[in-house]
Amino acid sequence: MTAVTESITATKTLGNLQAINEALDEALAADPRVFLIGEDLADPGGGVNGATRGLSTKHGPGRVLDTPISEAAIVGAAIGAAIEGQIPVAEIMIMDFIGIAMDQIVNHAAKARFMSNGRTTIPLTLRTATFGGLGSGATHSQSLESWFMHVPGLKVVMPSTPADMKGLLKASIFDPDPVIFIETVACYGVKGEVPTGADHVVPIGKADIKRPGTDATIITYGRGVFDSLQAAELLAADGIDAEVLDLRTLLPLDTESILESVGRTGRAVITHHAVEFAGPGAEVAAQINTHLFGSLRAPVERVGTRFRSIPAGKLESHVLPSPSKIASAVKKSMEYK
Amino acid sequence: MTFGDGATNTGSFHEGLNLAAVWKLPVIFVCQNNLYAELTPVEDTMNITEVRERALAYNIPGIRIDGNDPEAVFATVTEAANRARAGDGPTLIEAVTFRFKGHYFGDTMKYMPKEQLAEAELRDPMITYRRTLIAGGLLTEAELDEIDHAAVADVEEAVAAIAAAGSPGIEALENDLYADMRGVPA
Repeated sequence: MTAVTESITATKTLGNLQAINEALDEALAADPRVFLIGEDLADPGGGVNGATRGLSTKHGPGRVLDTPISEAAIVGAAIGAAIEGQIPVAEIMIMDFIGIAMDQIVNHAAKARFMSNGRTTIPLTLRTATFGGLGSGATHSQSLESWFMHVPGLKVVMPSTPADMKGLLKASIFDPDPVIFIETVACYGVKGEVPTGADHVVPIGKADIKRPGTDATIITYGRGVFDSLQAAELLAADGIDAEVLDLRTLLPLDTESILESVGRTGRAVITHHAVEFAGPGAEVAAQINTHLFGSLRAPVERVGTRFRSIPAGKLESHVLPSPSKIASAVKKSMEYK
Repeated sequence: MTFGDGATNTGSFHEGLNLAAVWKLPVIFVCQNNLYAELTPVEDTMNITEVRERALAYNIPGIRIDGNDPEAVFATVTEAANRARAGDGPTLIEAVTFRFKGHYFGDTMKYMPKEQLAEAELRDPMITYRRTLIAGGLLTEAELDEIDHAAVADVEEAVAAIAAAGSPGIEALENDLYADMRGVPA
């Protein structure tokens, strides 16, 4: 009995990149219908960042398909395979290039279930990554998640920690609907404790409190979680106890958890690396305003990326959110008594 | 896989042909070249005279045939299917035909010369192949009429069934967007 208990609760330290690799490995092992398709995924390349390293060697080249640089064909072929009963995990290497596949995503993957009266389903997982925060320039650094939040029929997942990364990737792969799974290259090296065992799955659509607090709620996801945790430390030094709520999934949005937290603290700061204007934070702010108008102690603050093309090099830091910008927004919120 | 001449100007067409060629997939690409993409003639949108030339770039067979000749279509598709089954990869077939009606209801077809339409109508396979079948003694006039009537009846039956079904109720908006509609925005 002791051994069983340990196998459920035991954890090991993994980086985000390893967590992704393990999730793909376990999914490939669990179901012969699962396959990977994208650019440079098979060994010896093993993915431009190494996320798929070793998988073609272990599971066979038929399970890990290398494609030409053809984003529409990658997603189109994955959708076709899904229609035929397979479980595709496609990859668009850099999120900025996803526009080439947008017709396949928006007009085919997202529409098939509705237009077929539920007869045709697309259990597609589309992994993609933002290279933001690495000084990579205007066409390699964007966080475009709000594009997909505007498409009924898609799910949008953007985890931060290794445990969530692994658990949500497996949930996405075995979800019956198309999921846009967004990774953050700048956070691939972030390490954390991940439950061992193949049964570790994190449900889609559930936010998670990464740091409990009583004075204000910082609502975020992806890289913003780490910025926010640092901001919370800065604020703690000033005697402000901020809660950090990691949305983890953007569609469906866990409005219940948002309202529960902000209902307690009365103050909300939303931060993300997507552009602030018309970004995911606008929807979160609208939900808070509608449901908690009377109990808010301060206006909802947003800290997103400035409405600029993201510059290459060091200038990038001037447009992206940062722990100090988030901390300042919380302090501004605290000025309302 | 079938598509029109206009679709061969999209990136997806070229990505798809290249991938199918590289992977030697058992695909038959059938382009129905009806000489007009929506309201624009093909010569205004392609710097080639034959769509089949596009296969050259992918090193797969590109075959242009008279799409109004059912026997040519049958023979060419059979050959392409045999190639695909043998593991020899995809084929692009360009079946040249014509569009007798507009692109949409109410299309005045001002862009299409009347003489071109009249000349094309003379080659309508519904008329010419009927003659071929009768002249060859393969089917009689009466047998062909029977086929025509059965086809018309099938269409009328389908139209009647759809008309009788009416529009979906408002509850259809609450289903089939996702398997699980919990948490979905209202």
